[in-house]
Amino acid sequence: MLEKQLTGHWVDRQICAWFWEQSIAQGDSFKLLPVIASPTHYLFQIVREGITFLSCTQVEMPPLMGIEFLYRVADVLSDYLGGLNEDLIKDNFVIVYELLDEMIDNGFPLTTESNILREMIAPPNIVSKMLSVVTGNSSNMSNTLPVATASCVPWRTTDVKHANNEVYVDLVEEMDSIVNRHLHLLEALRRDGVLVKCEIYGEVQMNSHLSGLPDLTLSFANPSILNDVRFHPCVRFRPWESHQILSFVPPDGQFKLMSYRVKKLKNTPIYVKPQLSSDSGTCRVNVLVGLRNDPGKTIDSITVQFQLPPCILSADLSSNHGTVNILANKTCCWSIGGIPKDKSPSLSGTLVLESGLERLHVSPTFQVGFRIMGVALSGLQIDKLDLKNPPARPYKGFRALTRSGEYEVRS
Amino acid sequence: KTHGHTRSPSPITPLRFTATGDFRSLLRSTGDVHPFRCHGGEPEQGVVGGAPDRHRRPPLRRSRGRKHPPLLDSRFDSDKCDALKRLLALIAQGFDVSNFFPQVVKNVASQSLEVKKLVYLYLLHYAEKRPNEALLSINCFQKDLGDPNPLVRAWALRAMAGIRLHVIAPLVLVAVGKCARDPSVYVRKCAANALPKLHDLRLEEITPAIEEVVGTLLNDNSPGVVGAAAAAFASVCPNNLALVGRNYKKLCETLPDVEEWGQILLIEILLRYVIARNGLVKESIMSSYSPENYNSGNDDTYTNFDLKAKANDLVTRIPGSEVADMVSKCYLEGPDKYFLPSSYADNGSLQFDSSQFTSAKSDDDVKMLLQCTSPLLWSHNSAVVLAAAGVHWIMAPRENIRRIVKPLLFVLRSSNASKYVVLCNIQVFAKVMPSLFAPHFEDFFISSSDTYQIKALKLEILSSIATDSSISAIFQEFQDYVRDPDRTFAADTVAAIGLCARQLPNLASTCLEGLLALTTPKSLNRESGYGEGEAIVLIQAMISIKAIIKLDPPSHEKVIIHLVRRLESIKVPAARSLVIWMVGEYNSIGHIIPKMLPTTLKYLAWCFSSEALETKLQILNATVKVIQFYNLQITCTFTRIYTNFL
Repeated sequence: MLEKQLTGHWVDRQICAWFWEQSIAQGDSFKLLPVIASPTHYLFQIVREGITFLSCTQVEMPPLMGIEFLYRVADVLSDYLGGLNEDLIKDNFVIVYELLDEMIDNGFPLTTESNILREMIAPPNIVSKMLSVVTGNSSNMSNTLPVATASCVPWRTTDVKHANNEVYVDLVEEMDSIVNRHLHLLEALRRDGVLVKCEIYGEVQMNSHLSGLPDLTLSFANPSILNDVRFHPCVRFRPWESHQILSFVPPDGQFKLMSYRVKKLKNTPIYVKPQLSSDSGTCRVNVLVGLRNDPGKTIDSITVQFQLPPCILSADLSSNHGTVNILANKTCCWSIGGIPKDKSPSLSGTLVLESGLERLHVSPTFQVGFRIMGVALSGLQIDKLDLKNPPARPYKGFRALTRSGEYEVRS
Repeated sequence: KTHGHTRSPSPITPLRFTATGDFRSLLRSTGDVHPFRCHGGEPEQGVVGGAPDRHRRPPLRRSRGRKHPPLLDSRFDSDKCDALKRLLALIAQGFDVSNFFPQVVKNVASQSLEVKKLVYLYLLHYAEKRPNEALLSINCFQKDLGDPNPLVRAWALRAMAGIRLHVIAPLVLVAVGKCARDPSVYVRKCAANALPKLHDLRLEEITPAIEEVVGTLLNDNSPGVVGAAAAAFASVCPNNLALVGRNYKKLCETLPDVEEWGQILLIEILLRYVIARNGLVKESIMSSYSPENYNSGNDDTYTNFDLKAKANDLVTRIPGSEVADMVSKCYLEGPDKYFLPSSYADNGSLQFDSSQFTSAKSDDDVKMLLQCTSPLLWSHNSAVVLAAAGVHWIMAPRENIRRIVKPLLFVLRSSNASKYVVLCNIQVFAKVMPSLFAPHFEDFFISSSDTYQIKALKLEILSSIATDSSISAIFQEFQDYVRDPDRTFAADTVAAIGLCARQLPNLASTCLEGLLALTTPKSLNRESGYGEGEAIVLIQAMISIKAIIKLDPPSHEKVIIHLVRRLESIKVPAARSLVIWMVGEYNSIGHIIPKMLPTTLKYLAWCFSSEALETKLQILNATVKVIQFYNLQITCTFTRIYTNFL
């Protein structure tokens, strides 16, 4: 447990004891509560990679502010330590303290931009360790204030110099989809589900290594398909409002420029057809997976996963392609990988119901995973990326990727 | 690199003591302090869960074999850092290492920024406990305030303000005033952050001076400073709205450039100012508060949503003007004051007349506020989105509120925690103005990865925004949810079906059909009883059926007959009692039910002794109702039977 007192009102560690007592008594469901009313405080909780981040307040405040800040802390720590786990935090607790001290002052966020923090407090990487051995200087603190804290673009360090000027734009999309079991005769004949909902949640991720203070404009060929948008603070609102153009001074390095949503897609690239039929205490399962709509690129990392209902005693499942694993928590994972040319992958087997049950009265939901490199399934297209005051002719790279998000097939 | 002491199995594993090196040497420097007295003994009781074995004593490693100078007094910064890091490790574990205060404080004068930072961390942790020694460091801070490096100035101010001692408050005030005019934005920002610390000391004589600095910083040219000043304003003088008035226009213009955290607070401040100055907007939902489909008939339905529904009724029952009055009072006096009833009346300076309304179309202040908060609905910080949406909800004309819908719905695609908070807000919005979210019902479809709380909220929102055109799609979804392996969630869905039926009465019979199907699960063997999960679903289905029948009993005669006929197969006591209640309540409906009564009551009388308590009570209740309604001839038979059993 790491503790940092932020305000003059001392918070006793007892609050953590209370929290753990509740957490142990109520189990996993307690871990999912973002806002908890304790006898003395309101607590905000997020859990990231098994680490619980907790903050508490006694005054009225916007709960999302607390929650967003905790997420930011988790992001920064994971960025700094190259992941998040108990040992990493323990081994670097001084850095954690220094970061927290810089990120929040008297209960109000101070510096939360990862780029700027990196300039003030060096991340514990090999290079800095090497440096400290060579120079005998063990400090990981910068001796000067990053210039950006004073500039009007607080997310960017001003004197960036890169030997190779390059900028990469990635469209990373996730497909959220709900496919229902067949309800109508026609669909029953096709043995195919109904697409209840199919939409894309996408992010424009950038990796910018440009010297000086570049000013970029990014435009799309078809911005009208975007249903919702959210922007990084660097994006200027006016040009978007008037012409749907992204105009911005980018931070240095990796960042998320915008996120968007495209709704009402007509099709999913693959189909997953689960069939469950139960009789006299057993349930026969048959799941078929195949290509529905060829996106023109290979689909890989296909997985189908489902939770066996509590009333299942045992399961015997096998597939003609890929591997099937049943985990201790009754999750069945079928890793398919790619779809072979000669056959369509299928999973089949039987489930034994607990005694007294003749038929399965609940239906598991199948979560589908896939990944397609080189395609943005929403159809969003980048028109062009222009640079004002570029240092030299920079290299511009564009990539796209679609993977499954909350993709569910109900049986 | 770590010492090999065992970790306790408790979830609160204390930090491993990772810093290598000699702990003794650090202790030795304390001279008069005995190492085992300072942390060798029992750690502070009750700091972490109370169990002493959870705080293993940090292992004391033997010296590396050569004489060390005490690390804290070392000439080398790296040694000092080492020592300080170890102290921080102990603090992190909940140990009291305040005994080292004098040695640590000396190092404040160090030229190394890292040593300084570590000293500050330690110092601020213990300053209140050791005020006298803390005062020793003041001179150093004051010297640092004149340092050419802005980072040094900022840190000195932060540490100085963080000490929180009444004696030095005047000195800190001078320092803050000086830093508020510092050329460095970062230092001015830290000055703003220092103000609440100073204000926390509750020294009345310096309050006006603090407020003046807040005013200066709110007028700063750098958006970064304005954000921090907004935070200071919110905690120091939330009611001194005159300070906002001076810069209102400028603040609105700066708002989009302020850092996200400052935006959250500044939005609220601007909103309060506009309400205080101009009143609520007459075209807004606040001034004409009449929920669209306000449903008064759900007083005795005990669905799973009971508590929340009641809370909502409280809100909806308050007449419009009172709501407006409450809202404006809340915004005028600040939330804290509003929740304390005592300070309610004594607010002389800001009397608000609830009849005072302004217009969003003609008032420049309102227009500007709405304009400058609109682009913030695109912010990547969900707290900013929600704050901006709040402004529009309260101040925008009804027809323009729609613009907050999509951004709010998009936030649902971020983290689970913010999803929960935003859904709670949407739930309130949707209750007041269902039409706002009605076209977007698909966004509330439940995904299996949602947590239980989120599922319950979505269900409730879905049932309050359902319309005649969307209900068939929503029911299709509900049919899937009913088959969900999580039976509590399935039961909630059944409750939601009941709610929908009551809101859209022409759907009542469709709903009843579906609900009846649930009461006869074909999946179960006749012999075996219901599992616990199924019982919950069955009971909820009965509750929903009962609630729907209650709306118009005569038209659902057949359903009642059906249930009464199946009474024998309904085993779960709570569900059984509900059917029996219906027997009593609707004993005179139609032609068939009265004819069934003798057989039914006889059957109930025969199985009376083997029933659960709640069923027994309902049997008696139903019988009394029947006896009251019909005359003696039946009565004789039943008195005979019941006297046998009672």
